[in-house]
Order: sequence, then C-alpha cells, then structure tokens
Amino acid sequence: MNKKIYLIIGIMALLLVAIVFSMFEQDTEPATITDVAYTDLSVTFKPSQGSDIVADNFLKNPTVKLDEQNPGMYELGNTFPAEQTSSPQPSYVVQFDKSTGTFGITLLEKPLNKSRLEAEAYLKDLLKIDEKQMCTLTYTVAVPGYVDQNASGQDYRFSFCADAVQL
Amino acid sequence: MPADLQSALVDRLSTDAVWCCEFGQNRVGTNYHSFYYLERGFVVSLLVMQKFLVALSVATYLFVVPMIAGAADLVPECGGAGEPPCQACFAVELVNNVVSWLVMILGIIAAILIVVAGARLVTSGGNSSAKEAAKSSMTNLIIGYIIVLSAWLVMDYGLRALLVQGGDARFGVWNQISCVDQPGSNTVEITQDQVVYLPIESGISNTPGWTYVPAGGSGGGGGSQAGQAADRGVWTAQCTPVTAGPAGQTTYSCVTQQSQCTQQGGVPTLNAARNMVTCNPRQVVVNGGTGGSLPQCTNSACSVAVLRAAGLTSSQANVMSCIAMTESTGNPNARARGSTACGTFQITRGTWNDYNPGGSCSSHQNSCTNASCNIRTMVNIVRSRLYGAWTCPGCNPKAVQCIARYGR
Repeated sequence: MNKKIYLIIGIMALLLVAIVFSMFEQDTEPATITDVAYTDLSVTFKPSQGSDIVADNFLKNPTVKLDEQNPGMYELGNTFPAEQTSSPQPSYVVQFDKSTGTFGITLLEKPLNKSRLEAEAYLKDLLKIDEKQMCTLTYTVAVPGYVDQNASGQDYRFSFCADAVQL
Repeated sequence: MPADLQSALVDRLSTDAVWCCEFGQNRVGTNYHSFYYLERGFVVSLLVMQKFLVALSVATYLFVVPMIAGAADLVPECGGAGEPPCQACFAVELVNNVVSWLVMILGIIAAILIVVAGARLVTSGGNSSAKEAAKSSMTNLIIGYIIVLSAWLVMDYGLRALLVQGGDARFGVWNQISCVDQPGSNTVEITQDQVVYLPIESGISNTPGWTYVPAGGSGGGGGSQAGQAADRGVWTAQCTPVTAGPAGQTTYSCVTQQSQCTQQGGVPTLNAARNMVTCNPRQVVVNGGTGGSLPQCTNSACSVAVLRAAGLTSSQANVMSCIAMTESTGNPNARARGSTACGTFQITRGTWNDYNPGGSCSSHQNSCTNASCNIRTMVNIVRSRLYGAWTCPGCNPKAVQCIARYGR
C-alpha cells in the first residue's frame, strides 16, 4: 500500500513540475504581430500572444520621412542617395510599411554585421522598446544583390534574436 | 432481463406456496420455509439487479453514445469537394484523434469502474477480503487514470526539453496537429544540386519562323508557349535558304535563327541534315544549400498577393516576390550604385524604356522608385520575356534559385 502512495505522490510531483514548466515555456513561444494601432503618441503592435508592444510613435519622429512616391511607406533615418549623386551611401536603410506593419532593413555596406548592429541600435532607440520586443516585430534584415550577390536572398534577422543568421 | 423470465418470476412470487411445495418436493427432507425465503430473496435481488442494469444501460446510453457519436469526427476530412488534398499529416491527425477519443472513453470507463468498486466496498459487509479487494481496485483505477492523464504532460515536458532552441520552444501544444496546405507543387526546397531549365523567353513566339514543339513531340506541330516552362519543350526554325553559285545551288544559313534563339535566352543546336535550328531551354545547375532561405517579400511593394493582383500568375508572383527580395530586399527606393538599375525589381533604364506602361510611369528617372510603376513595368517584362531579364548570364544567380524553388 505504501508503494502505491509513493507512486501517487511521485506522479503528482511530476505533474506539478510539468505544469510549472509548461506555463513558463508558454511565455517564451514566438509571437507574431497581428495588428498595429496608431495614436499621436504611440504605435501599439499587437502580438498573437502576450502583452501589446507599445512603441513611441516613430512616424512623428523628424528623422522619419514619408515616402512620397509610395503612400503608406516610410523611410526611417537613412535614405538611398538620389540617382547619380556623389553623396555617400548609408550603411543601412530602414523602411516601414504602415499597411502591413512590417519593417524592412536593407544592409548596404560591408562589413554587413556592423551595418546590422548599427541598424538595430538605431531602431531600438527610435522605437524605445527592448530586444525581446524587437524580436516579436514583423521585419526582415536583408542584403540586396547589388551589394553582395552571395549574401542576398536571406533574412538575417536581428543579431540578438533566437533566429538570427550569422553575418 | 427478458420479459418472459420476469413475468415467470412474478407469477411464482404471487403463487409462492405452489412454487414452494413444488420446489420443496424436489428436495426430500429439506425445510420448505428456508427454501421459500432463500428463493424469494434471490428473486428480489434479481429484480434489484435488473433495475441496476437498466440504470446502467441508461447511463451508458447517455454518456457513452455521445462519445461514440463523436468518433464520427475521428477521420480528418480531406480529398473531397471543397476539402484540402489528403497528405501524410492527416494520417498523424487521425492517430491523434483516435488517441484523444480513447482517453475520453477511458475517463468514462474509469468513472464507471470506480462506482462499481465503491459499490463493492459498500456491499462488502464484514468480508474483509472483499473490502480489501474493492479498495485495491479503486486505488489501482485512480493510479491508472492519473498515469493516462499525466502521460500528456510528460510528453509535453519531454518534447519541450528536447526541441527547445535558443531558449525558445518552437512549437505549440504537442498534440494539437494542424495540417496546413502544402506550400504547393511549385515549391521545393533546394537541398541538393538541381538542374533548372530556364524557359525560353516568350518573345520567340512573336518571331517569324519559329514553331513550338512540346517535350516528346514529333516537331513541326506547333504548340503552346504557355506550356513550355512546364514540359521543357523546344522551339524549332528552318534555316534561311540562300541561293548561290553559278548552278544556283541552294544552301542554308542558320546564323539568324541561332542569334534569335540566343537573344531569347535559349541554347541553339543545329540540325544540319534537316537545315533546322532547335532552340533549347538553358540548363542551370543550382547548388543545393547555397541559396539561403530565399524569403519572399511581405510588404505592399512586392508581396505575392500584390503581384497576383497586378496580373501575374500564382507561380510568377511567387517567383517575382522572391526575386524582389534578392534584388532590392523589397525596398522600392533601392538604387544600385554605378548602374541605372532601380526600384523593387532593379529595372535598368534601357529595359524600363522598352517595357514601361507609359503615362506617369514613362520616365525611368522619376518613376522607377514608384512601387506601382515598378510592378507594372515588371509585369510587362514577365509577360514578354518571362524571367529572362533577371536570369540572363551574369545578372542575378539567386533569381535562378527563386525559379527553382517557387517556379514549378
């Protein structure tokens, strides 16, 4: 009879550990942004699970420019130099598509890892959110073929996220 | 209990004296009254048991039948009209459904057995061995059922411990199987070296003298340009007859046809016996595992949905969304240094001038960074030349990989 009591206690303990572990793990599962809400002061990214990500309304930031040719798109910080100008090419550009809530980070200068770090630092400072929240955003970090043909065709992600690809 | 047996028993109870005596007469020297009460108690217990069985049947009907009816949903719906095509995932889903159903049924069986064990415990009276047996049954039942239920969490815990990546578990609840549509027959992972046949540009169909021959065709029968990418058909053209010499001999020059084939991205072969040129699709070997993840564009400048809405076929939209990422990372403002290539699809000025849709999109300088103009020009190029503007030798090797992955 004692053996059965020990068995029941053991199973109960295992269940308890498993439940606690499952609840803990639930928080770390990746979430995806399902909706974006804009107010004068903030932009709220609503992930599929977990709490909302509230960022400063970066669209009001003076460094953010509306892409006049492409309504709904914004150029964050750096911009591509105009055709046939001698102005230096930035190491990265960040584009935001308001309709889909997606960020597109284009790395333009080698070493590409340095460019990615610079883009991450800029975006973190602009949005005023932490790294974990940044990983939840909908975004791509990529290299155009004319910068490096071999490096193109890959989403490198942010360097601090679990799905980052080494550059 | 059968109705006739019940009726007979009731009859005997009502005429117990006759029954008693008849019964007693079969046992010489026994006490009629003892038999009378013994038999009457037996009959009463039979009637009580009958009521219990009826109650159990009703309970079984109420609880088990719905579960069995629920089993009708065990088989995943696939393959029928309006249903997704069947795939291996549905077999896994079927097994999962059966397991979940069995757990449900086990719950009911466990509940019934616990009640039975409880009844045995209550009716054990002073019989200590029966009491112990009932207690033991109940304990074993509870342990067994806890093991059944805990197996789910043990499995969940184990999978999370084994499959965790960088601190993140990359799956949801382990037994929630959600079959999704296959990425489509046009999507393949490039894990091994793969030969890709780049379709001959569609401009060849507008060039006089060329006839399409589907793969395996006998030649000369014409055919559909649209089918060439799928079946790797070829184009053929008769070489140009040239009359020369004092005797007026007719010879054939194939230079023009060979040049036309090359211009359309094909590889010409000469059939001297028939004085014909065959224009074959160019073969490109895509090295397995070197293409990167080849993501598709997700923004409003080049997502698959946007390109479909612009007039591309599903296959073309998938390929071009991938090519946009390799060309410009999907940024409509991208401008290559030292080149006139510009915009989402990095269209050069010369190509733009040939294929732009006109109107506000006619100027490459002013409108190549306009996502809409870039898409419309790209659509014109694809309709005319398929992917030739991006797969040309030395142009964009990743474009070939996009075709290999998404273009079938």
